[in-house]
Amino acid sequence: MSETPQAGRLPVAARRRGIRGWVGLRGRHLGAAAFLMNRVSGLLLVGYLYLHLGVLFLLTRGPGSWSSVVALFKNPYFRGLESLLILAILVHALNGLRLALVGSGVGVSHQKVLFVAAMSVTAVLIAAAAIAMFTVG
Amino acid sequence: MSEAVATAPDQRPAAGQTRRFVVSRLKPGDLRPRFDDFEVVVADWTTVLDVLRDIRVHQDRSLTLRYSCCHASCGTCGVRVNGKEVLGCVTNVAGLGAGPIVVEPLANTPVQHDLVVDMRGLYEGLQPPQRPLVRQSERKRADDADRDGAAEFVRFEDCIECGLCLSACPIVGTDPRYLGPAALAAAWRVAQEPRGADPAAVLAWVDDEHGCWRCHSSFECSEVCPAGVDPAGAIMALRRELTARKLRRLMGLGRRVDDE
Repeated sequence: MSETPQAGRLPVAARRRGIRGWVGLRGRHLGAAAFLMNRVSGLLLVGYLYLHLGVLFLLTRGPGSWSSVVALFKNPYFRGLESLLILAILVHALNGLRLALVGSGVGVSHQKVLFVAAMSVTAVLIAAAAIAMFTVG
Repeated sequence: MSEAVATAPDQRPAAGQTRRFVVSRLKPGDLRPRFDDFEVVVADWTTVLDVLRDIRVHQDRSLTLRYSCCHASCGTCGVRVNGKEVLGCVTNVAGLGAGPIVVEPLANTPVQHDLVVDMRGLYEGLQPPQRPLVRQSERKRADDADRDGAAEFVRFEDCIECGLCLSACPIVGTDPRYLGPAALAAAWRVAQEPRGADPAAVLAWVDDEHGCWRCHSSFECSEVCPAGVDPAGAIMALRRELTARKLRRLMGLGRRVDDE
């Protein structure tokens, strides 16, 4: 589309907020926060998929690489990252369940309550998971 | 800076508070908007529209804005205030908290001049569903007296065509082909109450990747709607209806949506 303004108007595409409308929470509400959290957690999970494939590739290099990968898994920083991964899974899965419900016309008027409930369950589960990860093994 | 308290002079309080307004400006030929600062003395009852009119009268005659009824009925004074879509005529400045107040035109719509946007996209989107203006259930009873000359109608449909929902929707901002919350809410009204329109055709129209399935459930349209239309609820209802029809068809209990 031409960038030359015509008849005093910017090109239509230039007037759309684009991705700024996805990430900007100024003036927005709880539903927009849920919308953003689902996208961020989804991207984190996609990133993890490639990281996971990379780690699996390392394991093909023999027993020595297996030992070094296990040592990496026991590193506290790595466990912190794994906690972040579990958080992303919980947010995406439980908010996804909420979206599946309201997207089917179930509980639409209670979507905020459903979000709060989903995030409450997420908080409990991530706390339990983090405690287990940093205390067991 | 204006010394006058915004809005009617005969209602000026003894002491007003000076507030700073940062207003988006864009004139024909500009590629990007700029922001101008104005200081206006406001009272407890001053609205954003009062302030904009005050700026136009006392500080900058070139400020372009659109308004008409001043009581949230015409839907023409929609703007973004501190990032949130509102009708300027019913948004009290006192409720906006401390700090500068940023006023911008509605988003996702071409700006014609300062705070005035091109509403044709909204109006054109409302044409295909042949949006009914009056609910069947809200027609006057035969024995009602016609006191206000409004013929047979008690009230109009809730949507005031202000376009706030289109500005708030993140998907409208990224998908130019998305039908948008206003048109989809109108489509659900037709599906609920056809009154001569063809609900199957309307349902087939919204049953598209750029129709009701494109919504990503941020619910911002319903949050900002000043008329309580709940477009997001209507979109979810459309999905439920389409899903039910498809399931019935799969089980051999019904016809295709676009065959009905």
